[in-house]
Amino acid sequence: MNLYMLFMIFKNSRLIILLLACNLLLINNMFCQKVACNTITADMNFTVSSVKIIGRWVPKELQAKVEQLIGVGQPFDPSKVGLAEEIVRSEIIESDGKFAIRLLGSTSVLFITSDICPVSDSSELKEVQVVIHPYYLRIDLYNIGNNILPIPRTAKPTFYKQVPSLLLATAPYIGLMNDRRFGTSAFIKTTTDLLHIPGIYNPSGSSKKLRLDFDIDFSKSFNNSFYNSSGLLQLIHPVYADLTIGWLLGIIYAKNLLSLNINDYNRESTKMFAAIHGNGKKSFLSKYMISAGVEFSQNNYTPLNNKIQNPETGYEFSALIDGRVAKGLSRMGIWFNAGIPKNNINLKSYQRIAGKAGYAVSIGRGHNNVDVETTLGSGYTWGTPPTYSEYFAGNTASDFLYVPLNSFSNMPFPEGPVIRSLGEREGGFSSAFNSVSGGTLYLGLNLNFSIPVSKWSSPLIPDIVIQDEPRRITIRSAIKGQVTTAKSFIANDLALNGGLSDDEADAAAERIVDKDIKPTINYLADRANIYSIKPLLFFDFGEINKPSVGDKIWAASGAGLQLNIVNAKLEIGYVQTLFPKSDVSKGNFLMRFSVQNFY
Amino acid sequence: MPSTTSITTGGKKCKPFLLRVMIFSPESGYKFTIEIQKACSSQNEPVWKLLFDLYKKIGADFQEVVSVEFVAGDPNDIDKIAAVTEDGMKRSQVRSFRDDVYPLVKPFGDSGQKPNNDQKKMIDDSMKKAINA
Repeated sequence: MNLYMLFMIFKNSRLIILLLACNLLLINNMFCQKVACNTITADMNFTVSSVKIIGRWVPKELQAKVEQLIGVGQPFDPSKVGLAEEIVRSEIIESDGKFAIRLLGSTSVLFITSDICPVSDSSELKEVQVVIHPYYLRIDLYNIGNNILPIPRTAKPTFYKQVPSLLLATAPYIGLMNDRRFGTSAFIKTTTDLLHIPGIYNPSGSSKKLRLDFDIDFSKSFNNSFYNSSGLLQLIHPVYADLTIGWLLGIIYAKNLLSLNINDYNRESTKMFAAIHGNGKKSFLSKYMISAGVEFSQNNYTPLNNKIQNPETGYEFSALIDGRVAKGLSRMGIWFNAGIPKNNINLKSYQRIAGKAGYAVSIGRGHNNVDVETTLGSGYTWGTPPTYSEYFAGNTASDFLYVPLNSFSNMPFPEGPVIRSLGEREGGFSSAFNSVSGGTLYLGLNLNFSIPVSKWSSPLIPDIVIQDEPRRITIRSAIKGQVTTAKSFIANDLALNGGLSDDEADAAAERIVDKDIKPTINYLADRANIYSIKPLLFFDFGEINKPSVGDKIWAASGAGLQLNIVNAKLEIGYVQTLFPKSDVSKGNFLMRFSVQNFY
Repeated sequence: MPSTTSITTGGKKCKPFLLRVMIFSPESGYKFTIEIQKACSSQNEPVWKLLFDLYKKIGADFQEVVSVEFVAGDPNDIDKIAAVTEDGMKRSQVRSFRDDVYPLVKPFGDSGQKPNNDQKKMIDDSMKKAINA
């Protein structure tokens, strides 16, 4: 009996111990409370574990100053976070004056918020991490009328003091490309405004009225001997408002080894040009550029197995307009070229005219849209042009819709229909001696579709509520609210400094904001992604004609993938010729990888 | 499992932010910025502020010469400032900052002196007038 009792007491005591342990665990659980972010007050006795500033090229001095103010390793006090945000704001504003010069005429949206969260769920570890998130969106008023999106692809601010001067001064744009004829190639493009070199030369009193751009453009094929090289110097009087007309004067020297059907084409040229550019008030004419130039070229090529070398003087005229039509963007261009080949009695003077129209639109709402792009082109020739001035079908490196309107990349005369299943200038008429010649007339149509996948993208401006009381405000609504402010201060500025009446100033401000600033801000807030992966579909149709030979028509289609991550863009795809039979074996693996806006 | 029984707790929620609402150049060589700040007190009480910073061109760069802070006390002012955060600044408000606040602040930027209490109150009143314009 005693033994039984002893056993029971022992058994019960184990139970009691077990119950006590469970209770202790439960009590422990009750203390193990998760403290919500942004709810930590000074009297909760948390210690600051770390402070992080989200941005590109964050200066060590700024980091140290903010850490010291908030007090890493010291008791946390929420009242210090606002002061830290002010320090970050001052540093970003100081960087404003150190913009890359192509952004001199710019406006920006600056918003800074912070998250204060416990480092751990453990009640023992009362440490807090402070993360300061500045959102900084620059809008380039000089490029805003162009079809390129005039902003960096990230909302993180850049602290320019930390960026190497060489990067600021040259604004490099680098990348890799692939084409079945040109081969795999690397390219680099740089732009330097010699009147305002950021970090190096920014003279006192230097205005936005003039820029002296020096551009370098170089690409080289890894598999073939082809290359493109050019240097451009142009004096630009930019346009920032509807009320002025800008102009530019330039000279460009280029030396290229290009593909010309199955042969090579060696070209060296010097071109002088002048242009005027400005803003229009119609939806289909938001920006225009009219240019004229004269070009002296030396041409070496091999048509019909005969090596020919001839100089040529060419006169060129072009007009380009950008528009905003039905929530999409449009571009139309017309080119005229008169060439006078010399030193060869077989070559006669000739004249060419070509036109192109492109339209791009995003269909859908929010951050996942189907993007549709289409380009239509045609060209005609009078006289008998040399082979290098005939129209050939083929892939092209330039992107008609998106290159800046004032870029010299827009100046060259169109080469023929864009058929991306062929290599550059590969499509022509087969002729004797295993050679190919081009046409004197062309027609072309291109269609691109990019299809969104919602899981494969992330918005540039996150959907974060920054305030519930007295009214609900999100980061997006705060940024979009700045459109009203922009309209108000532009109207005041025009009334004060532009000599307009109040009503005229209001109307002008509304026109400027509604045409340029509002769509850009809305795009940034509602549609832009910090990264996205989109499947692509390509469709190409083209025809060249030569009266002595006849017609040749191509059709091609393909698929690919587009990947955008902040400032890097990768497009890969394969396009197959569907028609004609002679070319159905030809397909082109397209690849373009580019990185820009390093800062 | 402790994590399954944990609950979310803490003090009052306050997420601080600072929004630059405008930069304006009232005359050559000067510019001012207006910012809205929601700071948090030690006990996470929201503190709504309007910051007016005056910059003067000295040499090649603009340098901040005066910084004025208006702390919104009454609910009407707080509501007006919150409205600017979301809806932007109306033209009457922009004009009032240019015509009423800037002329009062500029002399201190030129002289380098600090405003006394009476002058601070005048500037405060002008900023209150501007946000209610």
